[in-house]
This record gives sequence, structure tokens and C-alpha cells, in this order.
Amino acid sequence: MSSLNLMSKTFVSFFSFFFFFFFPAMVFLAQVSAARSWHSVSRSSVPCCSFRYVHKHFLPIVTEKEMFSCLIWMLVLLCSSIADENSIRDADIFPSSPEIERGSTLTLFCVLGKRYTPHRNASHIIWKLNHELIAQENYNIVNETVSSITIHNFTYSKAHVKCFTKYLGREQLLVHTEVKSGFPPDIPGNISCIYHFDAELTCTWTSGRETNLTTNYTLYRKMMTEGGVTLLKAAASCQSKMESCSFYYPDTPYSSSFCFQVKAENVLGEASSDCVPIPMEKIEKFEPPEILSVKKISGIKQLLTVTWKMPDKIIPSQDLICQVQYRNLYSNSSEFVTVSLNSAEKTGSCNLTGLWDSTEYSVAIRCSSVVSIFWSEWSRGKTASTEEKAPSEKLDLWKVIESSHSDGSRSVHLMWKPLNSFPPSGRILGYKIQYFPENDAALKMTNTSTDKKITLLLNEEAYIVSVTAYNSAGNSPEAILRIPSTDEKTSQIIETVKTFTTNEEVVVEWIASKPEVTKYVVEWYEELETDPFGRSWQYVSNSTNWKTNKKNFKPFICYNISVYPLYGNKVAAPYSIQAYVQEKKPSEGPVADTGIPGKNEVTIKWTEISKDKRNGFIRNYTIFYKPEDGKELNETVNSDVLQYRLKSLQANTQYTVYIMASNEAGGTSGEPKTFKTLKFNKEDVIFIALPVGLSMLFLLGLWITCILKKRTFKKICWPDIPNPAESIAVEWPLDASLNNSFLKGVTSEAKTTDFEDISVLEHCLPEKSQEGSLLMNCENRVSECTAINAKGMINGDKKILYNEETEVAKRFSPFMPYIITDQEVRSEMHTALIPVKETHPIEMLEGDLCESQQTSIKSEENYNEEVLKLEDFSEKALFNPYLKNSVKTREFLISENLPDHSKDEPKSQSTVLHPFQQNVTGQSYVTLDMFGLATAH
Amino acid sequence: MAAADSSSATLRRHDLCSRGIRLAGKMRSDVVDLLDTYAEQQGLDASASVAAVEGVPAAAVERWDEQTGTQRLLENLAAYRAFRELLAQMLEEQQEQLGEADAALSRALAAVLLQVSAFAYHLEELLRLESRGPPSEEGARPPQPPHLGLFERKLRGLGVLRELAQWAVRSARDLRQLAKPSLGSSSVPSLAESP
Repeated sequence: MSSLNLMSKTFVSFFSFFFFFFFPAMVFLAQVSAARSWHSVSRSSVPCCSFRYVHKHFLPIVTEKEMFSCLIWMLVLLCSSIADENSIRDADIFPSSPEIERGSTLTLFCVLGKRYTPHRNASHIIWKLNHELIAQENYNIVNETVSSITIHNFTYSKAHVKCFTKYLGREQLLVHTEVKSGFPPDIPGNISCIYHFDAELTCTWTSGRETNLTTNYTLYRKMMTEGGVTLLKAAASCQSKMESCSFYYPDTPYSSSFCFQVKAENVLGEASSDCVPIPMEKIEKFEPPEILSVKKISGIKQLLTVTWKMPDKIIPSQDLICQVQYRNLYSNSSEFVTVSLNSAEKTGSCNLTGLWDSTEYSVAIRCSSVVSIFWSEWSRGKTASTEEKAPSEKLDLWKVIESSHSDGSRSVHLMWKPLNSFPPSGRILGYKIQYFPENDAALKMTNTSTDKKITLLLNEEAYIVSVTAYNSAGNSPEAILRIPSTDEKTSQIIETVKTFTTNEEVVVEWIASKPEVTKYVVEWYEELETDPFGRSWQYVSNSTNWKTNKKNFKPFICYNISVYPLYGNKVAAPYSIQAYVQEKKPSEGPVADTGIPGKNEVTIKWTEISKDKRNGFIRNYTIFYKPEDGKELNETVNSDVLQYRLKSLQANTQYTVYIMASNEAGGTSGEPKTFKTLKFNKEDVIFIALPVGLSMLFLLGLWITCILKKRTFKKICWPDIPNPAESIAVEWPLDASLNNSFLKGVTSEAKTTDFEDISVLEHCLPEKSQEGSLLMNCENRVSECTAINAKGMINGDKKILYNEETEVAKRFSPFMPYIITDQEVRSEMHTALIPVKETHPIEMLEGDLCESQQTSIKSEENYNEEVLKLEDFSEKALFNPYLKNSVKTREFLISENLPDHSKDEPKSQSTVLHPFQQNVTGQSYVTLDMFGLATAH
Repeated sequence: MAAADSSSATLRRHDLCSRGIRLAGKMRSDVVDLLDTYAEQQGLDASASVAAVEGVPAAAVERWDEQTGTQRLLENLAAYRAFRELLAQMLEEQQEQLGEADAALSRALAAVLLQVSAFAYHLEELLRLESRGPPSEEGARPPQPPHLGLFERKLRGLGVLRELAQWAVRSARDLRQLAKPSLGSSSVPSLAESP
């Protein structure tokens, strides 16, 4: 803060001094000075300031710029003085930035400023080399404020030595300096110079060992005399810090007596080379000449004339040489011609002879003084062609014949290649195409073209086609090709062709059956190429193989390669193959089409990949298929197979299938497809449907038959039982009743009683499971039903009928004791039962059942045959389930009371017979048959 | 031994003469260029007639072909020493007179001055070879020019450069004459080679 205050005070006082004293004083002095010199504008300068006065007015003219620069200058002076004072006050190190010899002893002094005294003194000073503390024994306290450090054998190329104070354990950097060590300069050597004429004189040298210190070089240019060397008065030296130095025009006097000396110096010493004489004419380098023309001379072949202009700046009166370099454009090597000139000649020329015909040459020239060791740079090149000559070689001619049109014409595409002669025969101006029918040369037609192809429209005849190239000097020999007629069959000379590739080449080899054929054409084109002129072809002579660089073929493309034998101008039948130079796996896979799957099989179809995506010859297809949650399976088929039937599939299962097309390089799979196998196949359906259908048909037929033949069936199954009452053979006791209208009605009604009538009864039947337990109830209910019926009848319209029935029953009862002896004669049994049925309810109702039954059993044997013919009643018995139950029940019930005679009966009869026996024994049991019959009546 | 020394001296002289010829040619080329620049820069007509410059031996000399080699060298040396002084004066005047815009002319003058100096040294070398050291420069200084006006100084400068160009031609011829092996330093050249 104190220093800042001091600075500001000093600054203010300085400016006050300047404006109030110094500035007016200068103005005054300037006026005086201006008064002395009257003629012109005078310039009076005080350090950096200048004042101009126009003498007429004696007024000072001080520009703002000048005033400002004065102020800045003074401010700098002031600041620097203040800074110096402060630096001395704080700390200082000297010598500052020393440079010493490598390995020598370094001594530095650190001076404490007033600011640090009296609290600190030189004993508080410590030293560091870079970041390392220097040992105390190297310190030397000179006095209270000065400490020195001595470092022996200082080998750092560059290091920082720092001066610190250490007070109360705290280090404070006071000042530091950079120290460099190096070597004194070696004597410069290898001085060489080059003199760019009237532009620059540059000398270079080698400085020897690296000094590591700032080294200045001085190049001296001295005039050599017999008595020694003399320094030129002006511009005799130049300074540099590198190993070269230049004098620039006009400080480039031309003399042959100069010598050049280099002095190197740094803080450690200096070294001077000898003064090396370098005559300037020996180091002279011209500007390059300029080629005016390179041209051929009409009528003179294999010659070009070159003329050029010498550079403007060239030392007159001296001998020069120029070098002409020429190179034809087919060659990498150049040839040279040297031409001598005098500097007085402003232009030069020379003829280049022995050149190739019709060949373009590039020419460049450089020149030099005969005594100089430096050539000028090469001039800009210029090209020209030598005189042309007629092409000496015939063209390679080829054709592509399209198939004939409907009118018999055909397009013949002719193509040819530039001449192979080397050097080529100049610039070809065009091509002449001639063609005529083989049998009529008079019809020769001529076309010209500048292109290397043409399409001719020819008829079906054989043609001779010739093509020549022409330039300004003439025509080439004719290239002739025969176009065969459309119906002509050419012989097959080539037996086989094979192709293979090496690392760099594609090789086509073939075997010909006729060794006398020595010329072939190998033709190749992309399979999908449709442009005839897009085909590539090559003549091959005296060889049955052909090699070309792989770069002539695209990879992954299918090529058609054909070999055509040539004999004379005729072309024999080709042998063609397809080939890939390089394959990669197909770009896409085939798309699978599953069709309609079966139960255990499916047919997978796919289409071929398009040619442009095959990328190689398809070797095979692999069908991958996988059931849902199952293992993937695959089948591989040849490339010519485009569908495959997958068998042994699981029924009713979803499958995923995809096809992989493979070539030599790999395979690519198509999109997966899914399908589901069926649950049943056709056979299953047939096997199921047929029996069902047949069954249905059978049932239908049966039903129809039943409908149609109802009466017949009834007659067969349930034949009419003649009514004994109607018999004429015996006097039926009931004759009287036969005439009774009521009995007739019963008979007729019994015949027509349908199941519905019976069903009324069935409603009263218990379920089978409850058969036993409910039997009695049911029987009771039967009784009830019967009672109800009876009541109904009594109450209903048939009251009269009831009464009549009762009467009939009374009359019947003694004459209807039917006994069934065998189940097989069930119908008979039923029929036998009917009279019982009809009788018993009535009997029950009447209450004297037992007696009447006994009576009827007794009379059974007598009337057995007649009773069995009562068919109408047996039908009702068949559909009555109650009969069975009643039979069983009866069996159970009567086991105790069986009479002795009945036990002797055959067993087969016993089960059926029991009820009757029971009845016979007088048990009061009513069969449903009977009840039903009674109900029906 | 003497023959060998003589042969060596002859070769040396021939070499020096050849180099001198090139120096003279270069000097003439530079002076011709400078003349154009000077006339243009000073606003003078390049074809204006100028009086002979005082203190400079005339390039054209009668009975040139009768001069000996030494004479030729001495006359050349005297002329170029004079030119050196004159050109130095011109350069000083030029620097005082013209500002930065005319620096190109000053540089060209300085270059010719160096050329002249170098050629003078070259002539001294030849004279030494002729077993005759160069004369002292004391007597060769041209007289101090009278106080001239600006235009007169310009004309004088034009005259100096013209004379220098002629001297460059003459020097080349002199040296070519000296380089001829059949002719000794004191021999008389043929009449046909008069400048």
C-alpha cells in the first residue's frame, strides 16, 4: 500500500511538474530554435517528441499523437524507476539469467531488500535448485543482507535457482533466475553459398557441437587480394542465429574475388572460420528459361524442334549451357541433349531427332553458366507429337450376332479395339467399315465411324466384314471377319473349357480338338448384361489358356464366358460356361410356401432366388422345420429341387419352416413360415363318417321299412290270435257274449291300444333303484289307481261299461287259467296272460280273487292252445316292465309256500312259473299286466 | 620451374580476365538498367546530352589498340576508383534528397557501387599478377565537385552512369584482349580490335 501511495504521489507530482514547467519550457526552446532556421520546417526533438512550427506564425503545432506518445514514454520512465527502487528494496539475484560453461562452478548472490530487515537477514536465506533444496554448506553469507550460493560442476543444461527466506518455519520465495550451461562455439565449417542471380546470396555452414547457449553467427563477405582479404565498405556482413544467412539484392555485388567467413560467438567465447573463397560465378543460379515452342517439321518424321528464351537476368559475356530433357508419354525414362550458348543469345533452339513416329513428347529445359555448379530449375514442360505414319497393325475385330427377326434380317454388332502397335500410330481419325455378301462382292457397302463399334442390319446370307483404322498418314491393314449365314452350322472345335482363379488372376483354359487352330477369342459378360456392346472380349493367339487380372471381373457376379475358335476369318462354334470369380452367400433366402398341410405331412415349395441375389452357384437348399416347443430338424436337397414333402410330422401341431439356400460361400435363410398340421386326415374323416352315415341310412331305412311294412311286421311278430270265441269248431261258452257289443268293443280296443294308454300306468311306477322299497307302495298305488280307475269308470261315462265288464269278468273267470311253461314262448306267455289280466282286476275289484284264479288254473290245460292265439293282449304285455318286477318279487315272496308239485318242475320254468304258482296257492297278488289290461278295458 | 610459373601465371591471368569479363558484363547490364531507372526517376530525358564528367578518364580513347595490358589495367583501375567515389557521392546525395519512395533507386545505386568496388579490386588483382602493384588511391580521387544545383547534380549523375556503362564495355574488351595467350602484358593489340 505504501508503495502504491508513493507511486501515485510521484506520478501526480511528475505530471504537475511536466505541465507547469517542462512543457512550457520545451515550447519556449522550440520557438527559439524555430526562429534560428527560417527556411524550412525544423525538427526539434526531445526524446520522442517533435514539434513543428510554421515560421510565419511562430505557433507550435503539436499533434495529438505526438503528445500522447510523449506522455506514455514519460510514464514508462517513471514506472521503471519506481520498479527499480522496489526491486532493490525487496530482493535481487545476480547475475540474472547467467549462462555458464557446462561443468563449471556457478555462483549466485541473493540480496535481501529493506523490506525484510531487520527481522530477517542473510542467515534466513535458503536456496533451491529447481525444486530441491541446496545443501547449507554451499551457502555463504557475504554480509547481513547478501547470501551467495556456489554450485560446483553445474551440468544442467537449464535449471532454475531460487532464493527463499525461511523465517519462523515458513518459506517465502524472494527471487529466482534461470541458469543455462553450455559450450563455447565450435569453428563453423562447410561454408557453401548459392547466388540467385540479382536476388539473393545465401550461405550456409555447420556450427559443430550444440552449444546450448544463445549463439550469434556473423557471415562476412570479404574481397580477396594478394595481400590478404579486405572487407567491403558496405553490406559486408549479415547476422543470424541459425546456420545460414542471406544478402539480398542490391546487396549482392557480383565478384569473383569474394571469400566468405563465419564467426560464431556466445557468452563463453567465439570462433571464426577461415575466409572461404567462393567465386560468385560458380554459385550462380539462373531463373529457368521459357520454352517458346516444341513443334514437328512437316515432312520430316521422328523429329521435333525446340526453341526457348533465355532468362532476362543473366550475366552477359559468358558461356552458357542448356540441357533439353524430353520424354515420350509411353516411357518413364527421359533423354537429355546439351546445347551450348552464349549469354548474348537471347534465345536457343535445338532439334530432337530419332524420336518415335506419332508420339507425343514432353520437353523441359534448364540452363547454367558453364562455370556454375548450379543449374537453373527446369522450365515448365511443353508437349508435342512427332509426325504421324499410317497405322501398321490391323484392328482386333469382334461381333455379336442377334437372332434373326421375322423378316429374316438380323442385327450384327461389330466392335473393335484400338491398335496394339507400340508406339501407336498417332491420332486415329476414324474407322472405315466395309461389308458385302460372301457370294456377291459387288454389293460392297462402306460406313465410317469415329466410334469403336457399329451395328449392321444384315440379311440371312453370309457376309464378309472388314474394318480399317485411318489417320492423316493413311489406313491400317484390314481386319476381316466372316458373318455366317443364319442356317449355317459351325463346327464344335472346343471340347471343354474350365476356369479358375489364382490370387490375382482369372485363368480360362480350354481344349481344342483341332490343334491347327491357333487363334481364339475369349468373350465374357455379366449374365444379366443385355447390351451387346457391354461384352468384353480378347484375342488369344498360340495359346489355349488366357489369364487376366481379377479386377476385370466383378466379384459375386455370374459371368458367361465363351471361347470362340478363329480360323482365317471364320468363327467356329463357341464353348460357353458360367463362372463366378468370387462368391459370397446369397443376399436373400428363398421364401417358403407351405401349401395346405396334412395331418402328418406338408409339401414345402419355394422359388429360386433372383440371379442378382444368388452371389454364387446355389449348391443346395436346406429345409429347416421345427414343431412348437420341439427340436429343429432339417432336410437338404439339391439345387434343382424346389419343393419337398415333409413327413412324419406331429398331428395338430404348429410348425415353423424356413429354407436356406447355400452356395460355396455360405447359406442365407428366407423368412420363416408357420403352419399347423391337421387333427384328422381324409382317411380318418372317411372312416368316421362312413359308419355314421351308414348307420344313419340303416336306421332311416329301418324306420321307413317299419312305417311301410308296419302291418306285415305286426303280422309276423305279433300274428293275430284267433279268438276262440269266434271258433266254429267248438261251441264257445261265451257265444252269448260274443254277440255282446261290449266284448267286441274290448277286443277291438285291445288290438289298437297304444303305448300311451300304458304310459298312464307307468307314471305310477317307481324308479328302478327304488324298485324294492317302493314295490309295495307302488302296488298299493296300483291298487289305488285301479281304484281310481274303477271310480272313474264308475263316475264317468263308462259307468255302464263297467257294469258290463264286471259281468263279463264274472263270466270269464272260470274259463281262463293260462300257464306259461317256457320263456321262449314269451309271446305265447303274454297271450296266455292276457285273459288273466283281463280277469284279475275284475276279480280283485270284486274281492273274490283267489277262488276264481284257482279255477282258472285248473282249466288252463284244457284251453292252452286256444288262448295263446290271443295276440292283441301279448303286445301289451311286452312293453310292460312291471311284469319282470313282479316276477322277481313273486319269486322272493313265494319261496316258502311253494307246493310240492311245483318243485318238481324244471328250473327254467320255475322263475316264470312261480307267480302263477303263487297265484295258484292263493296269494292275493295282482300283476300289472292284469291291471293294465283292466285299465285298458 | 620458371616455365611452370609462367604457365601458371598465364592460366591465372586468363582466369582472372575471364571472370573480369563477366564482372564487366554484369556491371554493364546493371548500369544500363540503372540508367533507365535514374532518368525516369529524376525526370530527365535519357537521350539528353551531358557534358563529360570531370575526374573520370574517358572510355573512348584514341589508339586504344596500341595500349599495353598494364596501361589498360591502370586506366581501368583509375576509372573505376573514380566511379566508386562518384557513385558514393551520388548515393549520399540521393539519400539526402529523396525519401523512402525512391529507395529502389538508392538500392540500385548501391548495387552498382558494390559492383564497381568489386571490379576495382579485381583489376588490382590483375595488376598484381602483372608484377605491378596497384597504384595508391591518393592521387586517384576525383576533384571535389563544385557546388552544384539540384538539376546540375542530376545531370552529372546521368553522365556518370553513361560513362560507367561505356567503361564496362571497354573493360570487357580490355580484359578479352589481355586474356589472349599470345599477347603479353606489354604487347600491342591489333588494330582491328579497337573499341
